[in-house]
Amino acid sequence: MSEYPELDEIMNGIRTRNEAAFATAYRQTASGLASFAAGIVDDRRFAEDAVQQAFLELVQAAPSIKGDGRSLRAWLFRSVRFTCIDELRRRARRPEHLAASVPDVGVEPPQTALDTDPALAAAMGRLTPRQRTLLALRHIAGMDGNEVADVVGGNRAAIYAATKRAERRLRKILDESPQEGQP
Amino acid sequence: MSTDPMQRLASAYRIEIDPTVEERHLAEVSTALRHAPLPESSGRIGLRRRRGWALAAAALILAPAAIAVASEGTVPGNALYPVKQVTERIRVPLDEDIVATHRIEELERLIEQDASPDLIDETAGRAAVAVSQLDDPDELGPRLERAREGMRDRAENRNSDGSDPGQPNSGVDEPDNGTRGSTVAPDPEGESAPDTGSVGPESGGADQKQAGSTDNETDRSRDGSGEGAGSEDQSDEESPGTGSGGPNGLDQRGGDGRRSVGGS
Repeated sequence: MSEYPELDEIMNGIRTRNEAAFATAYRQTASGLASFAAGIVDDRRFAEDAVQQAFLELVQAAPSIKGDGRSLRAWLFRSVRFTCIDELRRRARRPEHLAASVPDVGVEPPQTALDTDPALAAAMGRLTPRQRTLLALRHIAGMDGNEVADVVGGNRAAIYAATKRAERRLRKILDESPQEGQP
Repeated sequence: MSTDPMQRLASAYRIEIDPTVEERHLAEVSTALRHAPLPESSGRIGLRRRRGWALAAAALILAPAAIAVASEGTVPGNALYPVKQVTERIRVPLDEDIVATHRIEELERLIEQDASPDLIDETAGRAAVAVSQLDDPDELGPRLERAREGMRDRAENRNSDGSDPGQPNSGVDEPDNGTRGSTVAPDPEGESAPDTGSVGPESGGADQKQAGSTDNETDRSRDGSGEGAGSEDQSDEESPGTGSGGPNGLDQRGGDGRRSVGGS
């Protein structure tokens, strides 16, 4: 049993591709996954798509998912993380994509953290994708060190140190920034 | 002033999934679930199950084979020895020599291992019986003789050690009784062949080999149907012609004398 009993209970349903189990998993994790995605790629529409993508991948992989609810959560966050990294690469290759697609979406422009906390969003934008990933897992998705390690993989101590470095860097950028202090 | 930047992160990037978005996503998931390749998953499990069956079947076939192979080198007293006895019963139709070969091998190994005299004697008796039952004892007779010589050497060594003079000797002699005709009898004859050459086998070398001739006679009278004894009967009756027909080990070892008999 993990610290996610609601997810623990549905693991068998997930493996047997039970629809109700998928709905439960979605309701338990979707907002956290979308927030995490937005922390890496500041684009609400993309974040929501990344969540959907993760669940569609889960449908395919369900029978082979091992472990408890915590493992399922880590699996979903990994999936979203890969989707985000792919998206960052895609946008780096074709910078016009963002400019071109936003007007197309038109009706309701995608919300971003730039709207709610521009200074913070600008500071996050100056971090590396990996630093954003670590901060998003730790402070947006609210994971502890072990869970972060489950998602990004690798040595726990190294991840802890890298997270601390990212925090220091974000603070430093915010301190240097002139329009700091408008949450 | 602002709160801690890390707390600002949580609020600035917080996304609550819209009910309409949730509905759309769950509908997509539901469609994907219906089209999910269920056979693929069950196929994977099926493959694993099939692999399990294959392994079980292989084990069922291989385990007895492995035991049978492992039993091949055993000697009387070993745990797998009964398995060897069963397999050799099965193999006899294919390989007549198997029983005799096994007994001789066991005898050699037991002598090598310095096993208990009783066990060696018993095995030597079985070996002699097995050799005597062969159509062609010639092949294995000499090997058995060598083993028995080794056995006698051991027994003598043991005697010279002064442990128990009577026991091994009497033990060694006993199995001879079962095999007189084919293996033991020829030996004394062979040794004495030059002298007894002029004396016919029927008269049994009466002058010197009393025991040997009486043995032959008792054989004939007691178990005329006995394999070794029976064939020797034949060769005795038509001794000149059947030099190669009878128990060859006997004829060739002691045969010199007999052939000279036929000649004279």
